[in-house]
Amino acid sequence: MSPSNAIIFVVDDDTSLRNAVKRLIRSLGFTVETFDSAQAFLTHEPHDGPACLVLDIRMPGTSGIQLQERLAKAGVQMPIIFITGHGNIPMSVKAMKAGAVDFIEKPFEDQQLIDAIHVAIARSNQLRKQQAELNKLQQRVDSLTPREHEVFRLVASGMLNKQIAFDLGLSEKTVKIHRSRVMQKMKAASLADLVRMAEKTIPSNSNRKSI
Amino acid sequence: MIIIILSLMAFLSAWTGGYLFYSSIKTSAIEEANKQAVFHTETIKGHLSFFLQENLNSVSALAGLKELTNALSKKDQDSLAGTNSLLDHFKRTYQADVCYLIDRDGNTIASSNRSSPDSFIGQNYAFRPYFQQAIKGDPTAFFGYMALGVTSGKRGIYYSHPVHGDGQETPIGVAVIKAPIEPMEKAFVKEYEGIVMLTDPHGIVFITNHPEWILHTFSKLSDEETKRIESYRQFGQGPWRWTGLNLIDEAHAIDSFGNQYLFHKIALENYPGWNLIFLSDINSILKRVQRPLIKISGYLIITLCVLIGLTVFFLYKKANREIDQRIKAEHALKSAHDDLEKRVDERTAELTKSVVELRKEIIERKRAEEALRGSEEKFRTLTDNLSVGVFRSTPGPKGNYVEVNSAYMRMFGFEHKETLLSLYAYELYQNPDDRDKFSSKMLKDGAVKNEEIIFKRRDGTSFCGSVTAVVVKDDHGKASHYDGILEDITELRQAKEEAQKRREEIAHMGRVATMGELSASLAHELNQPLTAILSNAQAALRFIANDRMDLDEIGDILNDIVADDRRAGKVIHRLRSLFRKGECKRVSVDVNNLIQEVVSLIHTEAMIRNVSIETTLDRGLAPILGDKIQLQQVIINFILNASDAMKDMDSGPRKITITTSNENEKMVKVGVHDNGVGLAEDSLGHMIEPFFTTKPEGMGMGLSINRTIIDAHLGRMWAVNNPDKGATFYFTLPIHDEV
Repeated sequence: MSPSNAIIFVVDDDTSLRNAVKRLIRSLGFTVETFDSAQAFLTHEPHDGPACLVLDIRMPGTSGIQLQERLAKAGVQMPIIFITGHGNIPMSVKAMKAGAVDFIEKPFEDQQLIDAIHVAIARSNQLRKQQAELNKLQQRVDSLTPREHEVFRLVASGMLNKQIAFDLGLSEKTVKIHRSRVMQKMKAASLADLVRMAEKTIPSNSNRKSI
Repeated sequence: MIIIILSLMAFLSAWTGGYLFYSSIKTSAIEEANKQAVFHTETIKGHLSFFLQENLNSVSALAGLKELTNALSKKDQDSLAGTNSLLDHFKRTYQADVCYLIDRDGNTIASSNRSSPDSFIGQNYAFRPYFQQAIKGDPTAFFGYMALGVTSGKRGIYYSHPVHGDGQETPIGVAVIKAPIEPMEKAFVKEYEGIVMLTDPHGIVFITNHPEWILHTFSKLSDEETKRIESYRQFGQGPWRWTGLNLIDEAHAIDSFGNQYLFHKIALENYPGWNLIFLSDINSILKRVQRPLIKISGYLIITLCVLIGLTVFFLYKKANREIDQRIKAEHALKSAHDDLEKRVDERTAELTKSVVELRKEIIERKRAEEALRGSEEKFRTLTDNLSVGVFRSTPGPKGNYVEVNSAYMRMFGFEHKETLLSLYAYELYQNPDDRDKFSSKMLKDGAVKNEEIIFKRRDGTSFCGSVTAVVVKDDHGKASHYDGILEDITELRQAKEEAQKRREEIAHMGRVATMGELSASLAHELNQPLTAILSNAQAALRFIANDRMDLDEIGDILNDIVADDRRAGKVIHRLRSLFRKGECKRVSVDVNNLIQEVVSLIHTEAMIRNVSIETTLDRGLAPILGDKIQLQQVIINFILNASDAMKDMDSGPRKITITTSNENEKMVKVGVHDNGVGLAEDSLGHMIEPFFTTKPEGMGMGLSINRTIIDAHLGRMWAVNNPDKGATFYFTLPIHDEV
């Protein structure tokens, strides 16, 4: 995969190690930006394009794991590669569960880091693509009138026209009209297609995915 | 008829003479026995008083030894072992029953009988007057205390002395030497013909040559008195049976068998109410008088009777034959009889005189012998029975021995004094030059004290001796002799060396343990430069492979690699110095520098533990004399301890502050403050105990090691809870004067 316009962010408090990692990634042709602390990283300009984060777990102040949590809370979907002095199983499990791409132990072979970066950038591209699709869907959802939105939600939940009409206090005929307009606006080819779209766009407590 | 009458008369006269003679002898014998009793009691009293003070100096010397102070203040295995071997040494040297050390609460913490079944260890003697007086520091009351051992059931004399801590007014414990009674009983009391008893104010017989009466009472006790004696616990639990003695008058007593005794009693000095009693059996005095009387007078009388009978018989025969010579014969008989009687009187008087003179002479001799034996006994006790060698030698680099005691000969392996006296003194030195040095020092200073010299035994083996000697001068002020004592301190020295070795091993173990705790951060510290080196080198290889070589970039990379390599080297170096096992090296140390080094050493560990370390260092801090590595260890341990104390804190910053200051002209003080959970009040005092820990998962090694190291540096450590939050551990180290 070509490095293209991807940026690799490196956060490590150890200057010497930071520079070495920066050089190594640069030798692959990627653009690298380095930060000496989590705080410094959080204040940088957001980047629009594929990116990943090479993060030291142990740092004074905000640790790598804490930074991962904060990014997730802020909804930033950036693949993270952790670098650690010595593997601590609970810590790595926690990091991987929270979606880390890899957990690399120091000292590491260049290939290990390179492989991880490639995986991370691929994931970043994928995430960006998904995000773009989601954005498109969201625009369609936003174009629905409030009534249409209600019908959309109830149809997607598997209710029959009759039930929807009863729930909303409408005639079955009116529901049918709303339903066809929803299918049109959402560009849904079938009911199954519409249900999938609803899963992606309508937040539900039990079925929320985060990356 | 005449024969019978004459014979009867002869018998009567001889008998009367004999009886008169006998009764005069009897009176004088009793008088003599009284005098003897007075004399004996005084002699025994002298011996007793000497004996009761015999070990006062020894126990005072024992109480002054540093090891005891250490043992009392620390109570750890090391100091207790040191003290125990000292106590063993004192026990042997002074042939004591037991030597032991009591803490301020009355508990015995070290004892020479620790391995015997009736060990004193752990026993509480707070009720004993010898303990109570000594712990009060009352110096007037230090005489041997006579009592029955509560643990051993053996009678003894207890010599006690307070042990003071460094610069402390109130004693922190009491050293005790318990001397056995039996040797004294044997030496001073047994040999007398009468009954000797030492009785306490209640009349309890404590020392006697009449074994059946040991711990009996001289007169009958009331129940009330018995209870009182029980409460003192001085003579065990009783029962104290009555000896059966009753006083007839001031000078006579009678026992339950009706035997009468001359009774003599004197008070014992320094022991109010204690009496020394001497009972002389009147029957045996009389028997002693009767025996020689029957021996001499009995034969004399029989001989006389036979002689008289024969004479009468011959006279009668002669009268029968020569009646006309009767009157003449009667005259002759009369004159013969007169003559005989005169001769009997003369002989009797002579005999009386010689018997009296003989007795006088015997008594004189006995008295002289006793006096001689007494002083010889003292001399022997003081010299030959000691395990300390005593010598007198002539001065000079060679020197001859003039006199030595048996212990001195034993130490050198000589059986005959003559062999030793025929040698030059320097021949007994492992290095003969030492004799020269010793002699020069003696002549220069006039004395030496505890001079350690390696001596050579007869078989060529060597031992370490401690010599204390003075120069004796003649009338012209010239050195004529060296008088001194020699102690074999090989064992003591070995014990000291062993203890030192053990201390070093513990310190090493401690360092290894600390390293274990720090291993995560050390791995991290090594990993950082190693990872950087690897990544730099691999980046360079890739730049070269991709033909994107920029010489400046390669130069930077190589410079970074060199710097990181050095960084790793430094970590290894520090690690090695911390792991190194070896003797401690005392050098002048700047504690501020030391603290900064340690803070940078464990900076990573602190980061991992999410702890910040601050320092408030006194710029004018005086240098101290110490072992840098051991002291680093101490500070690391305190920091780890402090960070453990803050481990469970959920909120607020975890902060350690290290402070230094000059405590006074002699000590610098270091404080390690944390804002953790603090210490339980009751644990503040227990810090001195080994394996004491404030942490549930702690081994108690850190503080224990710190104490060992700080003690070895003659410093002190303690802990206080901060007024707001957390605790502070302080320690002091002595300032190095010579800088």
